[in-house]
Amino acid sequence: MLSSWRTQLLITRIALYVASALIVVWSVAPFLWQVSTSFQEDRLLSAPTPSFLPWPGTLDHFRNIFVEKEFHLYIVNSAIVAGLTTLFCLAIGGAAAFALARLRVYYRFGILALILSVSMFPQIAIVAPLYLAASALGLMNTYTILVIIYLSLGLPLVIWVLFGYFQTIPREIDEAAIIDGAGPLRLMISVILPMSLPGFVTTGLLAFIMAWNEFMFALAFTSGVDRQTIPVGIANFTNLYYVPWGDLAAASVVVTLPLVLLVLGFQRWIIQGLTQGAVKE
Amino acid sequence: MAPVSLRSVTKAYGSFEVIHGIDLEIEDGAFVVLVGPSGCGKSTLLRMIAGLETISGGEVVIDGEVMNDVPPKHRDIAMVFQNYALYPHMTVAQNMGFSLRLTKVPQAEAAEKIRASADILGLTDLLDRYPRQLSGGQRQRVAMGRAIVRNPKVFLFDEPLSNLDAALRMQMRVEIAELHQKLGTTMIYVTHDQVEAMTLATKIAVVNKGRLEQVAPPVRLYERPQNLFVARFIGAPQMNILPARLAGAAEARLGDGSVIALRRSMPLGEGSGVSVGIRPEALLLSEDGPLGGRVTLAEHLGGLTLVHIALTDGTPVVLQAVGAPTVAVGDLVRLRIDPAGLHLFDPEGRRISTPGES
Repeated sequence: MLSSWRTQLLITRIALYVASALIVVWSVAPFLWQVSTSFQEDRLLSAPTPSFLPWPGTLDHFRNIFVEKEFHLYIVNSAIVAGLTTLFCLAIGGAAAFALARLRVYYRFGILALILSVSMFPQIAIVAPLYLAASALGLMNTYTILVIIYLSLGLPLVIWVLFGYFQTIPREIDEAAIIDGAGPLRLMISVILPMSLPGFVTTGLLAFIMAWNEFMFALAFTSGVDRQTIPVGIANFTNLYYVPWGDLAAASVVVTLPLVLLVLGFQRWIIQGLTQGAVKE
Repeated sequence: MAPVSLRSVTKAYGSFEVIHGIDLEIEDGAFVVLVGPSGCGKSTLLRMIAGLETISGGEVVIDGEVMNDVPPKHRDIAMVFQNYALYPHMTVAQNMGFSLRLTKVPQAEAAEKIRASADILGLTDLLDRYPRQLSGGQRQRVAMGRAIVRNPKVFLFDEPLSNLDAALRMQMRVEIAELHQKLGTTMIYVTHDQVEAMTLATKIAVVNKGRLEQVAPPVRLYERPQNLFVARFIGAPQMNILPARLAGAAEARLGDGSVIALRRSMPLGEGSGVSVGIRPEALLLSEDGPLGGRVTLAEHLGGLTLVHIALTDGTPVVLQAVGAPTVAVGDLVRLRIDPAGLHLFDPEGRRISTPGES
C-alpha cells in the first residue's frame, strides 16, 4: 500500500513504452521487410516459407536496377522535378503567405479558403482535362508540366503552413523594421524569412516528398526513361510474365534513403517547425 | 532634435472615433509622457506620430513639417516597443545597425556609430551576442540602442518598461532619464504607470477616452488637478474623494454630517453638491479634528504607513503618515485636513480654483 502510487507510475510507464513500441513496429516493420527483401535471392523470395532475415544475402537486385534498368536516370528525373517543385513552392508560397499574413489584403480568409479548395479536387478528375491542355500546349513528356502540376498540388499546403507560421511572429517586429526603414520586400527577406526558417524547411520537405512520390500524374504525362520519375520507373519493372520482387524492393530502398537522410538532416528544424506556437515565447 | 505638434488630431476606425481632436505642443528637447488607463488611446496617438497608424483628421507636425502622409522611415523618428521587438536572428550589433544598413551608411561609419551607442548604454561587451542570450533589461537596452544609433529627431517609447520586473523597472527608469539628459532629444513616452510619468516627464499629458484631460508639468499636475479624473489618476495611493454640500460661506458638510472649513467662499450657492478631494498625506491624525472614524487596516511600508479608516458614515478613506503612528485596527480616531492638500470639484467634476491659482 505504501508505494501503490509508485507501482501505478511504473505500470503507466511500461504501458506507454509498450504502446510506443507497437506503433513503431506497425509503421517500420513493412519498411524493414522491404529492406530485407532487397537483399534476398529470388529463389528465397519465391520459397513457400518466406524468411525475414536476408541470409545468404545478395546485392544482385541493386546491380540489376542500376545496370540493366538504368534506374539512375529515373532518379535524376525525380531529383530535377522534385527539386524545382520545392524551390518554386517555397518562393511563390512564401511570397503569397507573407502578403496574406502581413500586408493589407482584403478578403484574406476568402482567398485562403479558395486556395485550400484547389487541393480538394479529386486528382483523378483533373487528369483528363490537364492531359488535353498539356498536349495542346506541347508540354507532354516535359519536366515543365510535372513541375506545374506539382506546384498547384503543393502550394495550398505551403501557403497555409507558412501563413500560420508568419502569424506567430509578433507584429512589433514588422513595425520595428518599418521604422528602421524597411519596405515590404526587405522586411520579408531580411526579417520574416530568417525568422521562419523552420517553417520553410518543414513545408519544403513536405513539398519535396509529395513530388518525389507522386505516381498518377507522372504516369499520365511522361512516356520515356528520359522524363519518367521514380514511381513510374519502378512500375516499369513489372512485365507481363514476371514480377521482380527483389528489384522492386531494392528500388524502393534506394528512393526512400534520400528522404530519410533529408528528414534526419533537418530534424532540428522540423521539430521546431511542427511544435512552433505551442508555447508563448 | 525637433518640436512636435499635434493639431486637432483624430483617429477613427470606420465611423467609430477613438481619438477626438487632440491638440498638444511638444517643445524641442521636452520629455512628454502620455499617461492614461489602458484603452484610452495613448498608444494609438503615439503610433500616429510614428506613422504606424493613419491619421483620420488634423495634423501631426514634426520639426515644422506636416507628417500626415510621410511614411515612418522618412519621419526621422525612432521607436522602442514594449516587447523589445528585437530581430532574434541578428546579433546585438546587427540589430542596432539594421537601420544604418538600410540607409546605406558606409560600414566604417556604421560600426563607429554602433560602438558609440553601445558605450552610452553599456552594451559594448554584448555586441556579438544574440537577443536570446540577453536578460530582459539588456534586451530593452538594445532596443534603445537601436533607436539612438540613428540619432533621430524624436524618440518614441511605447510602454518600454512594462515587461520588466519591479527592481529592473526602477533601474531602467533612471537610465532613460539619464539618456534624455545626455542626448537632449525630444522624447514622447507612453505609459499607464503614473509613477513613471511623474518621475520621467518634463510635461505630462493625461489621456482619457481619446481626449486630453490635462497637460502640465508633474508637480503642477499633482498640486492642481483640473478635474476629478486627473485627481484620481495621479497620485498613489489615490486621492480621497468625498461627496459634500456647501454649508455657509466657506464650509462644506460631508456625508457623515461633519463640517470642514474651506479656504475661501465658493462661487456656488449654499447647498450645492461638490466633491472634496483630500490627498492621503493631507489627512492628519489630530485629537480635535472635525472628522471621526474607525481604523480598519494599517499598512506599514517602512518609512510610511497607510492607515485605512472608515468615517462614521462608512465612507472609506486612506491616510498616509510618515513613520509608524500608534494606531491599531478598531481604534476610534479624529482627523483634520491640511488645507494644502484639499481640492474642490464642482458637480461636473471640474476643479474649483482657489485664489492665487491660475
